[in-house]
Amino acid sequence: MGILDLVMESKLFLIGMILLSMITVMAVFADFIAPYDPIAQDFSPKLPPSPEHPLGTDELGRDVFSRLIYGSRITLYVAFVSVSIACLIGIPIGLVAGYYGGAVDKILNFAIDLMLSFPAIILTILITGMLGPSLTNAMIAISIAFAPRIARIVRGQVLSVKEEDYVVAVKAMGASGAYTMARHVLPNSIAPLLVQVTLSLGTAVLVESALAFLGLSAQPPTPSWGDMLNRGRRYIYTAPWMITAPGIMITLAVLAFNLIGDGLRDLLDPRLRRL
Amino acid sequence: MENKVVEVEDLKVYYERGGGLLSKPMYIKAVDGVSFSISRGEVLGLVGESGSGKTSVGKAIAGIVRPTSGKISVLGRDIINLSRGEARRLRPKIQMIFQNPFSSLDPRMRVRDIIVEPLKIAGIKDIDFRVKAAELLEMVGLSEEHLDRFPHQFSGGQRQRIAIARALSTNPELIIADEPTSALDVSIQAQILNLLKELRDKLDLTMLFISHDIGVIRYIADRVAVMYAGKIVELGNKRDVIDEPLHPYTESLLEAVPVPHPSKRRKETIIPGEPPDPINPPSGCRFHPRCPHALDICRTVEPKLIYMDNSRMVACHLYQD
Amino acid sequence: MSRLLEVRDLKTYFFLRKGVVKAVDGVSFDLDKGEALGIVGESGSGKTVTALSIMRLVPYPGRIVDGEIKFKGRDLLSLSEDEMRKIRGKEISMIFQDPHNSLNPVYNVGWQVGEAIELHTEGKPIWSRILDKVISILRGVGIPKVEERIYDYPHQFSGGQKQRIMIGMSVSNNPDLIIADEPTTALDVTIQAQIIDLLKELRHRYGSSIMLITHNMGLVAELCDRIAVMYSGKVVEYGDINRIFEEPLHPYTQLLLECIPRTDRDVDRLMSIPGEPPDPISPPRGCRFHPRCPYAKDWCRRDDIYVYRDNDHMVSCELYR
Repeated sequence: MGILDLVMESKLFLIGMILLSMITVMAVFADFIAPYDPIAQDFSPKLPPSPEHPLGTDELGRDVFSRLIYGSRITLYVAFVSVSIACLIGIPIGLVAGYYGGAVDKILNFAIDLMLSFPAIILTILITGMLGPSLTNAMIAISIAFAPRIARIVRGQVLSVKEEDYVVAVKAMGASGAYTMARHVLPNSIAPLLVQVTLSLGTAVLVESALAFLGLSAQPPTPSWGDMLNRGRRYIYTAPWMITAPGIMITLAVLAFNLIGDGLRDLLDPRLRRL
Repeated sequence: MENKVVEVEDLKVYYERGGGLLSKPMYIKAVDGVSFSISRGEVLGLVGESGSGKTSVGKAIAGIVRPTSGKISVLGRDIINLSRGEARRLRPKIQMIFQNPFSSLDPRMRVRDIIVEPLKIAGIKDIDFRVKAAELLEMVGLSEEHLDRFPHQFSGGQRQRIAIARALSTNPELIIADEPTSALDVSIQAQILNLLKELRDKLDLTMLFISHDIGVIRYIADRVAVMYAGKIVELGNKRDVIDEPLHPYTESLLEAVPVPHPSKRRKETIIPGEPPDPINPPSGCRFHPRCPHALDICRTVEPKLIYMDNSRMVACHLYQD
Repeated sequence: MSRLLEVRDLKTYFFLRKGVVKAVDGVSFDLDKGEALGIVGESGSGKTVTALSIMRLVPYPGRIVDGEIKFKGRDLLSLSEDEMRKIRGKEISMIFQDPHNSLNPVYNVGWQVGEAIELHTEGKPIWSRILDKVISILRGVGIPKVEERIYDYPHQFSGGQKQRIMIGMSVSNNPDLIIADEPTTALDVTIQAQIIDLLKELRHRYGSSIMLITHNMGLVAELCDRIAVMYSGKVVEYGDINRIFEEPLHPYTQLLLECIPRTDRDVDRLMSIPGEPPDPISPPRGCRFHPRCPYAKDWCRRDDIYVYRDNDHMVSCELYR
């Protein structure tokens, strides 16, 4: 019974992977797939979908389909980079808090609680508001908002793993804290973290789109789904394709990450694997 | 003394429970004044029921929990207050074998790395780790082909062999075995006990063997210490203690063990009640509420662990005057 | 004595993705009224699944695929789920291994014992009468100060007391058969002795039959009249307790008895059974013990292993052909 068989069994996980691969292919090969320049205002505004423009054009005469394809770049880029940064901040904090416990843990945990008492979206709006609207600042904001979530997951996992006999055994051998954490605690905390990171990627897509919708992320004319949504909103009755297309894409991207996350949770669950 | 490997003096291990801004913490007195020593090449069996503090004694010596007070010395060196460098040198000389072989091996490491990890932590570099690991595996009855596997590919008994190999890697002065066979089936338990016995003869190991099973202790140990509610109540050569127990607790403990033969059914003289609350142990002798021979003095005065002859010690008012 | 339970050629398989686990594979035994039967085996031998099969509580993906379970003359396997529910807890009750998980933490114990009675009360339950019964039952299993304690919650009781409460629940409807699945494994020896004595006493008071499932030969010797030794889903030896302990015939039974470390005598070297229990998905052909058996011959691999019968004694082994 290989891991591959299990993957095949988990249909939803497969669907998630296929969706994500499609979006990734779109992002990587945008130059070849997109029929037109996403920024060029070459066409009549608000053309309805037609063979030349499968998803019509927007109010400035740009091809919606091409913008959609290029928009996937921003979305994936922001999601992956900001969640990675969040991990780089959150993992060490969670490790230290969980492993050492005591006063260190109390302080770090309080900080985490404080950060988590703001909804991610409010926190990111606050931060981009302070730093000024730009793609970089949006990523910084998302990283800061997500780091405590990662830290919390890691801390919880470390709290349980550090009680395992193999960690106790290593301590009894006289190993240092850093060694024990890096060699034993962290590798055994990865599985649930992986699930959380995947789900975070989905949320990050959502938050980025929201920021773009509010004009706080990538600035025009860069194509981004959130920004397209915002523009489409004004013409929802006259050019509904403008808002429908990016809306569907955002939903699909979030769905892809969530399906993969849920699938991973099942795959990594040893109770299920034993069957 | 030269040939004493471990000396424990008035060891106390208390665990803090609860307590916050407004409430005082309570102390669980897991080990409350325990003294004993183990000579070179000797196996001391530490027997007791759950909550008696036997595991905490092992953990304190292994450096996993910090004693509340008392002295532990290994080869004459105090090991409670070690500098970092000393700890690096001395700690690997004390190895522990845990009860549950399913949680004592890191599931993400290969056997070859698990076995020699104590050497790596001790900072040893100039040996061929693979050869060393293979040697150790051989010693515990596994073979070289197992080197590259992960723990989950082994049965409980085999994992315990791996744990033993790891414990042997540093040529330890002392091995603390904490219920090493109680998670295993009897047929496998016998294999592991025989292995430990062979290794002990071959390598002249010194061991603290912790178990709730008096049969196991009788098989593997030379001397036995009986613990009850954080204290040693009786200590002596295993045959003396097990065949002719002096302390009423030792006696009832032995009576309670079912002998696998229907002709040896227990007499119906079991001790009533349950072990005391470790936060508020009874005054005087901690066993007095359950003791069939309790005297008035037992309720108020704590009996001291005294020598009955040159090898036997017991803490009971019936034997003190 | 009249027959209470007849199990014939019971087969319970688990259908897993990686294959079929024949957890119970052709098990037969009888139990008379008022008798105590011990089912002994190591982990994975199928003893618990046998018990669950009798209760018809085999968890998914397991299924009883063949055999007959006759209880008081009725075939349990042909009953509807509704009829079976009336039997569970009333005519056959079960005590589980872990008393800590067997009681619901959110209800007080009096309510829970009352519930067990109420479930099998015909017509409208009269609570004052049930309450009286709860008190008398809990007093009967040795819970002190019952009138106050019935309002306490499970966490306020020790492990031993919880097991007493579980036993109280199991006898509350005067069952004909009590199945006790490792009832003392989670408990200390002194508490174990108390629980075993309680079971003995209740057996005499209520005249219930007991089916004790355990890995501990000592407990069987202590409590049972008959014993069935299981190995890898099959009963390898079955018969009178005195006879089997005096002169075990099956090599597995012999070795199993020899590998228990005894408290009452010294042994130089414990017998151990080499190897490990077989993979339950592809067990060895013929006698499943033959790869570990010191007397194994070529013909032990045959499919029709010889069954030697002498009155009530049964051994499945080629040595006696």
